[in-house]
Amino acid sequence: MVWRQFRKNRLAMSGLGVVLLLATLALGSSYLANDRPILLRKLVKAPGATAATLRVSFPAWDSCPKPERLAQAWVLALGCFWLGRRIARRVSARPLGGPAAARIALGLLLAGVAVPILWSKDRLDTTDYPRLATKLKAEQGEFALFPPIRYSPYGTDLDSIYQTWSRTHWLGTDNVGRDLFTRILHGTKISLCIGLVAVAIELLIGITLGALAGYFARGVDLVISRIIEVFMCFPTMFLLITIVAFLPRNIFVIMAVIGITGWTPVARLIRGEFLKVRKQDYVAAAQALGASHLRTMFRHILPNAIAPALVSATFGIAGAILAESTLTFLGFGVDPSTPTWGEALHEAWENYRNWWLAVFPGLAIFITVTAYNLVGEGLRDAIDPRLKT
Amino acid sequence: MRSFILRRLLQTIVVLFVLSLALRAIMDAMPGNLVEMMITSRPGVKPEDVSRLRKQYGLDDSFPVAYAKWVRMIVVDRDLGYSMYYKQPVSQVLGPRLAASVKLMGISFLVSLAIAIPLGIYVALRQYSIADYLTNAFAFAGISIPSFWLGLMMMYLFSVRLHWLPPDKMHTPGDESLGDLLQHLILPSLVLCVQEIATWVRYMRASMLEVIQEDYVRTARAKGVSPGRVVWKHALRNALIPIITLVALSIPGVLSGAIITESIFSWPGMGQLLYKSVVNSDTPVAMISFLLIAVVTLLSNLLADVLYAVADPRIRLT
Repeated sequence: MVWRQFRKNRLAMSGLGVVLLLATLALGSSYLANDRPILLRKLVKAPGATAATLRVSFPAWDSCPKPERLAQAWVLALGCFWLGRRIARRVSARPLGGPAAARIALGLLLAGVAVPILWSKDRLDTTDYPRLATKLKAEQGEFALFPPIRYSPYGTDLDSIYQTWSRTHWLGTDNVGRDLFTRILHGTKISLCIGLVAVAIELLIGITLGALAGYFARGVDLVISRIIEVFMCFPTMFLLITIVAFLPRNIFVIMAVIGITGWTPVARLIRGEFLKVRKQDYVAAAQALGASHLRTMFRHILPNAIAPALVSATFGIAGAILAESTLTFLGFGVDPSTPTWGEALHEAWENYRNWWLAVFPGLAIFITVTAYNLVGEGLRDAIDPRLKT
Repeated sequence: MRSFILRRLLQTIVVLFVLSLALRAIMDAMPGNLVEMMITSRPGVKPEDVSRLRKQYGLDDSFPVAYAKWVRMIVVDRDLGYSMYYKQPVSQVLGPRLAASVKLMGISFLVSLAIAIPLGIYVALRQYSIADYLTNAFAFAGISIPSFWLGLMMMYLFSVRLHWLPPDKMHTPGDESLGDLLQHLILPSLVLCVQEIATWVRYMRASMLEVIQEDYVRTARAKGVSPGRVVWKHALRNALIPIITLVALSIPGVLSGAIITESIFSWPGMGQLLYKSVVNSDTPVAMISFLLIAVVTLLSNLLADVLYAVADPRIRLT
């Protein structure tokens, strides 16, 4: 129902399209721009063996950090699962047991993908692949498949600093000669990740406190409402800066801090919805049947109360991305080698004569935030047409 | 109404108390303190001097004692403390910053209101016209654009490339005239205006659209009231109610300053002061500025509720 309404909204759909495109770029960034080959076939002499044999390796995949590999594998697995189910549906009306079987199969699939990744060891690979690629012997079957853009987001090149856009560097280079396009592409990963994790934290805190306040009302509500008020009194940006100032600079701290400072709107919305429905018949019915408070709150009321919070969460993702880039821009964010959009803009601020440094990362933020805002707006109109602006 | 205001004021005091406790705790947890700051620039300070200084500034007190002393200093002695970073009493540090912020924020606040409200009404009356679409597009871009990026772009275009306007600070050194101030005001207030107008125009348009469909507006039209009078007398009063709340709630922003805008344009206002005081662990200044902003936020929340009731007699405050 909501989806049907949403689909009619062309702007919101294009926003969703952009979001999905960005997600794809984020997941694929290591294979689109990297100085390591996606696939490498090379003659290797095993210790003790007499002749060298051809061995295939995947340096780009190996160099991704574990969480990233896990995300890539899970998205792939989910895609395959979804496709498999569609094909199975085509073949028979009731394929291979009911939804319970499907759920178990999905669980097994995800776990099966995750285990080898979590078990694998991170190896530090310092091979100079671009050099290695020039020495490969094609006639003996050695072969390397490189990503379309052969720069690493960390690879500095002091011979080519501050170049404007050109054929070799699509969007120019920064103060230590890193390719800006590559850094923006890899920044997508971090920005989206921050948006999702921060909003997940916001939802967790906001829903718990809001539900408690709205369900029990009276004293509990009074106390929680005051807590919300205390948090609202802070200008968010200052709270962020104060907390970040004495915590270690890393990306997870930033996500947590943005989540911890941004939960008040969710809590207020959930509280309001809970207050509205707590006296309704179905709640009384659930309680009469002996459901515990927790069960009533989260199984019976929450599904009816969560819609506005989800809309707010969509805007929250946009807000979190903005907050992260602002923090990093002001110099409070992640450490400077991490390729984030805010970081790129921070460098642009310091030498603003090189316009491309400022224009492109800013555009990336602008496009992402706009896309999320469009989706949020479409979602709101679809869920509650009365709120339409 | 009076009992409502009194009760809310009481709650405000409780919130402020909790807030100041939390703030104090956060500030104490921050690395670097006053005595450390004093001795880093002076080599050869003896350990007994350090312990004497620590005692003098109350760094060895337990948290409740330190907090109580701090509250007493402010409430009883009317002393806001002394900033080691600026080597000035806090009140003297705060004064000019407050004035600078109010100048910048106040002007952009007023200009935004003067543009956003008429524009919102205008496009609401011409829904789905070209002007409406353009305004919507502008408003949407305005809320999505990162303000620091907008600031950077404007600075690059108008100051670096075209040399039309000064890029930063409040005055050209040695020139305190009004014209000079205005020139410096244009860029930062433009950045702020874009965001404020974008937010308000959307609300104004939405609320006007809602009101204009009401039965009583149709009745007024039907009995032959002139179109202008319908809009200005009948519709506008009701359409303004949500806007009043919105505007009252954005007053604290005027004070706290937009830290980002002030940082980019090196505007010596509250935002920059807070930023610097946190960075340099200048606790006295940070605490007072935070509390000042909190008080104004709480009061404008209250003001929003009261104005709401004043503008709309149907709402009863209890």
